[in-house]
Amino acid sequence: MVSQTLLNGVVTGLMYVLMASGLTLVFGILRIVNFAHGQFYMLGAFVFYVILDMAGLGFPIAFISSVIAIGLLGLATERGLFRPLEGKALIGIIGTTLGLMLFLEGAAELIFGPGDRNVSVVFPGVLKIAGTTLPVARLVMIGTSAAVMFALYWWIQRTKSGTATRAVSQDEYAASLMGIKKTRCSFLVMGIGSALAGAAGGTLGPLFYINPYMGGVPLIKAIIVITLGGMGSIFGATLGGLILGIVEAFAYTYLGGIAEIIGFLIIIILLIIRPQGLFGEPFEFAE
Amino acid sequence: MKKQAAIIGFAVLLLLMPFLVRDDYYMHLIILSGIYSVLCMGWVLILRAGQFSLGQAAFLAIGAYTSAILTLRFSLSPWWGLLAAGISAAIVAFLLGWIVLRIRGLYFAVITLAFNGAVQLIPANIDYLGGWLGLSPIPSFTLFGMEFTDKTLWYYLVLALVGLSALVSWRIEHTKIGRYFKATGNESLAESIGINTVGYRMLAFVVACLFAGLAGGIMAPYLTYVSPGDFSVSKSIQVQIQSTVGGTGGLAAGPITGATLLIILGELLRAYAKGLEPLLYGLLLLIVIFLLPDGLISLPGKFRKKQ
Repeated sequence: MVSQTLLNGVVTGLMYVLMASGLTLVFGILRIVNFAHGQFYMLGAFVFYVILDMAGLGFPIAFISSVIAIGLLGLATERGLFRPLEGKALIGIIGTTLGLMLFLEGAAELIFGPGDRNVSVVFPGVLKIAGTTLPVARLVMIGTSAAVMFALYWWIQRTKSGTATRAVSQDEYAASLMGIKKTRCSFLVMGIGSALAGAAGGTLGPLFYINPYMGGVPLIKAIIVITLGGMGSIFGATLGGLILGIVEAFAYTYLGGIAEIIGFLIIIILLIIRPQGLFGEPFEFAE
Repeated sequence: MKKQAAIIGFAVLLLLMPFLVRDDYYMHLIILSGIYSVLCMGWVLILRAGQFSLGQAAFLAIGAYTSAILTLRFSLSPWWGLLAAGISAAIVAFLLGWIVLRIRGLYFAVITLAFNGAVQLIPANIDYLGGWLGLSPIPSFTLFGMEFTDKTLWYYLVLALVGLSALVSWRIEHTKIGRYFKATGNESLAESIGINTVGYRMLAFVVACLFAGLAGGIMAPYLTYVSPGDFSVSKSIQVQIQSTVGGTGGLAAGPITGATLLIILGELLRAYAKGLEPLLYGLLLLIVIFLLPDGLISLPGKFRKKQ
């Protein structure tokens, strides 16, 4: 029972990690919480569905299409909506992401209809190890998310553009003195961050029903995770996502539906005692 | 002189509304617009004091549930429910504000969003509070032996609340407090001239939530039920959208315009263009932010300038 709960918690946690790392990456550079990130995830799942089930191409092509399509959507969003807002008041910035959120959800509803759709099972079968059951599809999901996260860490730690990104997120002014262009960095980061939402849609699409409204809950969870881990910290998002997933799994098993509230309580308490989150840089309260 | 005449004419129009609109369905929309107007005025008041709330539906919920529990579980009159609704929302706002109002910007938006999520889930998971199904039937108001059965009395009750809320906003805007609210936007500057920024932010937050609670205390008996689904984060987002579209330059006219227009637009879309509403809502918000940052309320002024 305990090991099964732990395993379920890790699977949910990995989903939170994928969602939250993209959101936190974007926040670290653009200082925007993209409320449309959940809809990016939803669209990623639909791209996956269209390529896999309607076009009949295999899992790898469907997954890569999700990542690329949503990455491009992110690039377009940065260029078209976020860049003109640079330096504007919070009401315009949050308003824009909320407007985009509604727009994309409405567009998906118009195109695909409001009903649930089933993505066909790519990897059937169930593994039984030491009394715990693990569907193969979930194992694939664990593997894919781990690979995506590994690629993200490799990019941010080992490549030149990744290093530049870290520099901007640590100190924008000092980075500009080193000749790093913030606009270019924002553009790239919005693409990569959104591609992560697409990857989440592509990995999780096979596990759940998909519908135009599926983005709402994962967005809220991702916001809880990045607040927990520290906004802007990818390591914080990774650890925070796993912690939230596991804690929720145990709470569901032993407490029932009230477990939903735990995430909210965690961040309310955390923001009181440690507002920068577990791994965030201490920040000035005034923007 | 001309302005005064216009205001008096508008007031007469508002008072005669139930006799001009002799349709229950339209009256229902107008009453809903009134409830949302109160929420939006509160939201803009908080914004004026430098905070961005994404949790106003939580305070509507606190008011509505307070009224529902007092009337259903303790058999009190909904008038007591209404009073308690406002007070309870204000107390919760005070306690929450005491903890979170020093947090600014995006972080405040996130914490109010989380608060909204938590508040919605509490009654959903407690049987005494009705669970996901909610509580009903909440008894209606009675005044001098008249029960609020048709929409006319409800309309006047909501109109009174909108009027009170607008009056408070108007008073705040045109006195020293309003200027202090504006000043809290630049925290260090405001504090350097002796303005207690957190104190004024608290005042704005508590007043806004008091009115949100009162709106809940009217909404619960009006709809005769409360259920957690009605107080989701998306309702708080709707408040933000209505206020932004209406215009946040003034404390009363913009939010009331935004709430009323978007409630009616939402209904028209539902009737004539089903499925298009979220898309057009989002598009409208984007258009207003990019092309008309002062909201629809600034539109007449722009035309006048051109002439």
